[in-house]
Amino acid sequence: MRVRLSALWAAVALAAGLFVLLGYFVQLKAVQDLRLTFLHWAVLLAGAALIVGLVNLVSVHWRKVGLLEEGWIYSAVLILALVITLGLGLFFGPDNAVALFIFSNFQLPVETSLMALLAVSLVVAGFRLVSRRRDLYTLIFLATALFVMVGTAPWPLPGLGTFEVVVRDLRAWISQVWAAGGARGILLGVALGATATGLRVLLGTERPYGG
Amino acid sequence: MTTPELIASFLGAIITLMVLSYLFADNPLFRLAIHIFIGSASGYAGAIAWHNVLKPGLVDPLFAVGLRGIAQPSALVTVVLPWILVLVLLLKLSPRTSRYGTLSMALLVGVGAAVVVGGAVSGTLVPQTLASMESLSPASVAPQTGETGLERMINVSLVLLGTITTLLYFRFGQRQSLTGEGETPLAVISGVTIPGPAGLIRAVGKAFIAVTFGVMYAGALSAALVVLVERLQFLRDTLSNLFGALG
Amino acid sequence: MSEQRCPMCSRPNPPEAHECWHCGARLTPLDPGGSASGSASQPGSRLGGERQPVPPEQDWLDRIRAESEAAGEPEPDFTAEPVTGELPSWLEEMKPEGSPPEAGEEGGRVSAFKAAGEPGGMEAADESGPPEWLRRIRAREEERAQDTGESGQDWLSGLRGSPGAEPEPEDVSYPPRPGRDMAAPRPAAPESRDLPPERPRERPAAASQEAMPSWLRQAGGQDAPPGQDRAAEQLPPSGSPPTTPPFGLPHVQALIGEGGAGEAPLGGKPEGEVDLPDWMDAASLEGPAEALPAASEGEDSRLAPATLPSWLEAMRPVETFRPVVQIQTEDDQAVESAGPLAGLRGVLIAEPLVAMPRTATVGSMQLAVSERQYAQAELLHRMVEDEEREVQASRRARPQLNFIRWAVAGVLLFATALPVLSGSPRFSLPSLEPRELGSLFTLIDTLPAERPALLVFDYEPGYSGELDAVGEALIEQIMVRGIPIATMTTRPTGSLLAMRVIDRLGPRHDYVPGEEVVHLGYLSGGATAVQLFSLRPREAILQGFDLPEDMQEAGITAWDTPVLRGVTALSDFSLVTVITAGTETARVWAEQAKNYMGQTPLVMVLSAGAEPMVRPYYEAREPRVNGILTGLPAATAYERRMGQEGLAAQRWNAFGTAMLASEFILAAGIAYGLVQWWMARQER
Repeated sequence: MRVRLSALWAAVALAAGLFVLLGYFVQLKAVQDLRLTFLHWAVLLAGAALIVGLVNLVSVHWRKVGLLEEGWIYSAVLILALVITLGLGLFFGPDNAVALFIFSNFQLPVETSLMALLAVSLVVAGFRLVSRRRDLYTLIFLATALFVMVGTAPWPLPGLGTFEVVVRDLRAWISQVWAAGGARGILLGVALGATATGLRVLLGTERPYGG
Repeated sequence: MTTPELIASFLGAIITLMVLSYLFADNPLFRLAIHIFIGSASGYAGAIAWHNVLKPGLVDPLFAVGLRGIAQPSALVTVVLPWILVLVLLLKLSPRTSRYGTLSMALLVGVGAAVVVGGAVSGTLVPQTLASMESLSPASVAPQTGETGLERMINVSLVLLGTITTLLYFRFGQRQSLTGEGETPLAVISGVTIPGPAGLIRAVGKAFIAVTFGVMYAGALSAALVVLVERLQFLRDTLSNLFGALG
Repeated sequence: MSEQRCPMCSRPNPPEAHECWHCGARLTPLDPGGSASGSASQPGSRLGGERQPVPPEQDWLDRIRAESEAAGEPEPDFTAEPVTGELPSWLEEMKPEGSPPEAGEEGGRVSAFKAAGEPGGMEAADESGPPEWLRRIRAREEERAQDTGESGQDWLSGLRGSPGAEPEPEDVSYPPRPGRDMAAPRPAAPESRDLPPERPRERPAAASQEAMPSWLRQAGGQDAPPGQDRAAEQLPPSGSPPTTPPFGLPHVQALIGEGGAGEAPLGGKPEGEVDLPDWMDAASLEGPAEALPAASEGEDSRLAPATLPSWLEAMRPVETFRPVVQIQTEDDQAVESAGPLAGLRGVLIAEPLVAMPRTATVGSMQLAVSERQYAQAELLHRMVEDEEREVQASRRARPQLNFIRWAVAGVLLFATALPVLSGSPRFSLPSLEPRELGSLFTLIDTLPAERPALLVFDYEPGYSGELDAVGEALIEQIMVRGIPIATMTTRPTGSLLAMRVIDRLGPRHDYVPGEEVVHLGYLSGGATAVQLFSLRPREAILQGFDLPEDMQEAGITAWDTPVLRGVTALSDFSLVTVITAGTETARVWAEQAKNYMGQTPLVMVLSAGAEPMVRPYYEAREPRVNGILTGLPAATAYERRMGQEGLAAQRWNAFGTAMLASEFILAAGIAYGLVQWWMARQER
């Protein structure tokens, strides 16, 4: 009997997911043990998937270097940095001083600097927002952001005036009541969507793993 | 500050300036810094995945069980099958054998989907729905904030209104915009269209979403500004240490 | 003169042949006003010295014979006699007395289909003399003739009552086919091996007039013509239109001749020639209608048109399906002038009905197109045209875009660097603190000190500038209380971030790695890892991170350290604090871990942007998040409660100026946009 591979993959996903999902609501030992086993395997596979992604990254940039495509020098630098860091981490361990040195003086500065660039980008985007899209909701969005920022930032005037108290309380009211209501609705919508998507994956309607 | 620390700070400062140079325009220095970052981050991720996940989860149990103990049923579950699954996943590296690696991906995705569904149902849907059913009694006191009386009644009503209208907007608002068919407005006064009940609910929901996103935008901007401050402080400290060491 | 190829079957023919010996096609085109001398004559024979015209009804038979000779097949015997007892009674009455010798054994099997060499089978024609089967037939006929007193008449001739005896022919000559020229005299022996071998023709024998029953005679309509030797006949061309037999099928030759007489017997046949019975005569079954006049004329015809008996006529289809076909005379028929049938008369005209191209008489289909379909077709057409059209790239003022970015970046950098470099302006620390801050502070203050606190560092290094400052305030309080700390992460770089924070704060409070603080390390898998860790912490993370060297050498894992010695479940921790910048991570921990924490509180240290999405978990009757600390203002307030000045306070001034600058820029952007809108409205 010839079995379609795609049906086999869907069956595997369904079987594994079913026991894990049952474990949330059923307290039988057999179900719990199976659930734990599948969770263990998934954690190991997630770690292996990281290695697979790493190999794929290297192969893409290696090809770029081999074919001398545009920007191949950057790809060569990337591969060099990867090999050095990976080698040091594998040989000396990820908690060694060299790894910490590389992290603190290369990775951390880059990421934080990119975050600093984000600040400029956010401000520029906010500046141009009303010019590009003039509707009521854009104004509500920007007015809320501005008011929250005023209520968050240090008060420019010395002393604790009544106005400052009112502004701070209004800011708290907006972010903790008005925004919380919208956030709860968004959370419920996200949870509903995640449930629907997860069930579709379990039932084989959607197969993001391929096949 | 010791010399290695000084050198390290100097390197960090150089990298910071290389990235901040993007403010002027995209340039080779920025690209170089980004590629160094990607390479080092990926390499480190691989190293820690091996040391903290794969080695203790696959290699050490295999050595602990030994070749003789592989046949045991417990070893089958804890050693043999995980090894098989990981090796099957590695088949994804080659286009020819990629389709067989789908077995491990299917298991991973299936477990992940179940975790998401279980968490969404038990951790968000039920608790948040119950949380929305707050009592409107003036005598009730909010446990976290201590609110009570009219203040609490208004707040609870606002949160409930925001929750319902936001959900309705997500449910019906997108569909409406796709079809392009407008609803009959309630009235048009001086060029201002007053929407009907359904349109009004969607408009209120959209307003609540705009407020929520505005708060999130303000928070993200303030977080990014704090990081900008931290970077400038780092540059200042590095420069001062450098000048201090040189001087 | 070389041989000529037939245009139809491409077989070679003698140069003097006018018709193809194999298929009968015309080799030389006819003169349009061609002589009518051979129009009604019988087709000539290929045998003997001079080619004689041969009746059209024999043409197809000649063709078959020629093909079979070429293939080496024995000539079928068309004079097979039926077996007594197997035939209908009316036919048996017609059968002559005495069965032929072959009939008894063969049981009605036609000897024509016997292979050569079989008893009674055909033998190849022998040019030296008639074949054996022919001799047998002739002998039989002679016997019969001797018995009946007739010469050369078979049983059918007897039925027909042929008046005269058939003269013995010297040669077999057949009248040419109607409408065709006479064939040139043919050489005695064929020179080409490709030519079909000559075969004796079997002449149909005439039936005897006296032997025909009266009903059959009447069915014949008229007396069959006397059986004649065809070779001696020179059938005159038919000048009169053929007469339609009574039954309306001029092309069907009757079995009985006009005079009811049979054909001439075979006795008078020359050597090498075979007579066919009248009813098997090819001319009676084929050929143009011109053959009919020859048959109907009496002298030249072999078979007289007969009327069908009533019972047979009742069986035939209704006349409406069989229209009467009016066949023109030969002179009136057009001569084909093109194609392989050029020169022939009576050919079905191909042009102009078939060969000539013409427009369809059926009207073209009318497509019903609705307005919507038309509009869609127009849209598609426009889209296709747009694709072909070259669109000029719109030039935008790029310096203007950079100017805005440069200006904003300059303002922000200036506003941020001013307090950093100069120390002014200075802003007072916030005196107002969030409402949840007090409960959080109390919560930490009341934690059991003997149970460790779990710190989860689940944020990217890019957020370390903010979250280090916010988280350190809470971690400081934990350390002040002396609560052991364990760290873990679900991000690859989380362990290093934890290490940096702990290494900065630990020495202040004498926290020794392995004794008061331990790092569990990284667990891959996201939500799956959180779920596994919540269920079985000891089985999820097996190793540690940055353990003291002596512990590593001793093989001691993180779970064996004094910090985690009594911990087997998540609920064994006194506190779980998740430091994260992403709402997704916070939601995952709130969903997956809270169910397994029991009474252990879950506290979130968040970036300012994640607060709105986590607050619903906090503000609930049964909260899944027991404490929130978010943003730099809350961190500075927390530090103020602690009585210390940490990273948050150090960044407060620069944060203030940067926020003010951002507020002004945003306000300017709103004002600019509103002014643009107002001006546009005024222009309208």
